Amino acid sequence: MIEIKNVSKSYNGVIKAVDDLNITVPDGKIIGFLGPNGAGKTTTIKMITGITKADTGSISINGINIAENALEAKRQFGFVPDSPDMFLRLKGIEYLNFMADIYNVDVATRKQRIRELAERFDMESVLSDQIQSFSHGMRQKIVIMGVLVHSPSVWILDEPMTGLDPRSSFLLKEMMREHADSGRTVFFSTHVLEVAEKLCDKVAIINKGKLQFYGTMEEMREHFKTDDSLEKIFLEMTENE
Amino acid sequence: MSNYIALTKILLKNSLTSFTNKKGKKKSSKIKNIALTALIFISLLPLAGTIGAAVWAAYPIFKAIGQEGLIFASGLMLVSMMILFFGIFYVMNVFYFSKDVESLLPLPLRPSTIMAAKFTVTLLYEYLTELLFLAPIIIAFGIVSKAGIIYYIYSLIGFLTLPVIPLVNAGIINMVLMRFTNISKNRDLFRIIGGVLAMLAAVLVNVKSQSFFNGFDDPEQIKAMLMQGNNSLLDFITGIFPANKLLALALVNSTNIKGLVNILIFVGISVLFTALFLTLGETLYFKGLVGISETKSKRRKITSEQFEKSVVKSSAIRSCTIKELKLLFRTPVYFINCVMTNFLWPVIFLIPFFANSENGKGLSDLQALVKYGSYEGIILAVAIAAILFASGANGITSTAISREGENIFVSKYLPVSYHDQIMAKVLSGVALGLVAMTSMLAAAIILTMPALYMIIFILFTGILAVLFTSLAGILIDLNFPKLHWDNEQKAVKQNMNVLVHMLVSVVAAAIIVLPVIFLKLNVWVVFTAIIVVFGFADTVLYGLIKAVGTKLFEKIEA
Repeated sequence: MIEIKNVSKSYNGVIKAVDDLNITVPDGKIIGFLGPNGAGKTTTIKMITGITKADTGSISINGINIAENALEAKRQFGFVPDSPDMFLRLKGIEYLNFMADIYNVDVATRKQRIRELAERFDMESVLSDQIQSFSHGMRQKIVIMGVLVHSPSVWILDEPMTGLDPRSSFLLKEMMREHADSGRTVFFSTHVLEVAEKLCDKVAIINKGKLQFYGTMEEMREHFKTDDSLEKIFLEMTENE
Repeated sequence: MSNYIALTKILLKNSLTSFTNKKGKKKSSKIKNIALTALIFISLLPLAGTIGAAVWAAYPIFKAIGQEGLIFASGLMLVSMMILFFGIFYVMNVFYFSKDVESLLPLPLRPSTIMAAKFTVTLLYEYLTELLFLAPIIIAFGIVSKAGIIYYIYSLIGFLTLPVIPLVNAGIINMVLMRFTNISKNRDLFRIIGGVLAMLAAVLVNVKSQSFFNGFDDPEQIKAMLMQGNNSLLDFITGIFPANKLLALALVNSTNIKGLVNILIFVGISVLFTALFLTLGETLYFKGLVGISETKSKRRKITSEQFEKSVVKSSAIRSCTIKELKLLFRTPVYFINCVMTNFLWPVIFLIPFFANSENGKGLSDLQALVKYGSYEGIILAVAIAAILFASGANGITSTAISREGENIFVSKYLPVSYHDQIMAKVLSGVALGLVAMTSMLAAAIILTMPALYMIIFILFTGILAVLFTSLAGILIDLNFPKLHWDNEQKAVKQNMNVLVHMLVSVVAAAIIVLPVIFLKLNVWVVFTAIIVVFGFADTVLYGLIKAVGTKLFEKIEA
């Protein structure tokens, strides 16, 4: 579970990137986080993951406040950032082992998980190569594997489908569904509205730092009294006033 | 031409922002940066002053024998050598490995336009080097020789043109290497090989110039040369940069027509070199670039043996330290700048002995010195000073945060305390600092055969010294991390933190050595003093990291 309460953040004291945001992401659900470019999605995700501090308000993950008990809160989630270009000179296997060390995964479990994940993501033949030799999609996959290797209860993903081939994208969506169905949490940002529409239990739409809507697709159609697609509603909602 | 100007402006703007790192900075850190720049400037003044003073003192002597041109010739050679040596690495990074290359390639620009713009930016950086080493010579010479306005005009022209020829040389070496070797498919390996070759070249030049000065042993020959007067010795000292002779002659003959002719020819040659470089680039540059971002990969399924070996459990702090070391060894720029030097110190120290014409004499003198008991205090102090310098000069901890670049955010979401992450970086610095210490000590043991207790003294105090520089370095980088760079070179080479780090270790070394020499302290006193002083300093620095460092780390954002 992720609880975002009255969170605001501004840069240089002027531009409000996030303005009094309130979202509760319950267990067992996939939440899609939508918004136009520069709406405050990445800033919100940065605050949830402890990369940057909120000016006001509180954020807790599984009931643990990220500002007060940072380390324990960080152990609750796995994070896939929007750019997978990191640790490029580590080999795939070294990166996965590094992540397992950081999250204190025992040897037997990490071996089993790495084998399974490599097979599912079709990455067995590249594990002994340096990540810099990977394509964008493969880098994305190794980062996702690095998250799954410590089996966190909360998944936070920033644009996770970017660069993935159709098979891997399908696989990831399937895994997100499994994860939520097992009673755990998935929170991800995306620009692909079809994915949000088909995959998410609830969507949160943010524009100019403010939450515009948070609820299920049905609630949204009811709210706007329309049978339009998410795309149409989204475009109307985020239109420049 | 307009493309060239536009591109140069963009590249310049880009490299300046990365130099000052001002993106989204608060006022307080801006003030900190200004203070740091001022500190570095002030600390470099004595060096520039010393060079100026040396020229001042040397002028009358050389003038009396009609060889005052030598003053310029040696200054010009020194600067040209530095530009060539650093230029090889610099051009490699700016022309071939900079991230902007891939976004420039699809644009409708001629190779020579991109090259000219990059060359200009590189040239501007070289003027900074000149400012420190050449400007003092020019000014001191001008004042002491009561030169007229023409001298200063020629000097300015010379100042602006001097770096062209060595930079073109560095550029052509790189273009040929990149075009006609296929190793660029494995760019990391290529860069390491290129770096080692450049280092070897520098060592060779060093040896060569030392043996040249030793070649002055034949007094008759020197006398004959000297008697000729009229700057006849210039040919000797301009060495691999013969064109420098023209500039030197222009500067000493600024009052007559000879000066004008020489400066015109010098500028003409520099223009020709640039034209040659750009023409060559039209055919060579893009061909060398193709495939530059490809990297070696095996694409073979991992064997179960490999798998078992790779998947092992370590503590988070150990894992972070190993990660740091792997990145240091595998990233060519880091390897050449931060790692290799630690192994090279013994070689660098040995060169003077082997370059010496009377082989072995210097060595036996040194052995006698070590054996002779009354110098033990000084020897211990000098050994610690050398260790301080070597572990401070590698710049590992003073660039540890900077090297993370914009990926610094990763360290924020991983569940490892900032204290542990900082200490992992310190430990990687300590590990390589100890390598420098052991390699130097091993060479010293083999060459001078010191007493066992001296070795033990150096080992104990050396560890504290390495800890000191590593802790000091990380505190510097925590205060002034340089996170916005587009090639790795900028993280470690164009990073003022390395200079500050070196300065701190030099000051620490001086604090140890000077009192020992002046007070003629006994070895036991020196040993105890170092243990107490550095034990205390290390504790204070560690306390600072715990109290302030972790908070600084928390505030760092790319």
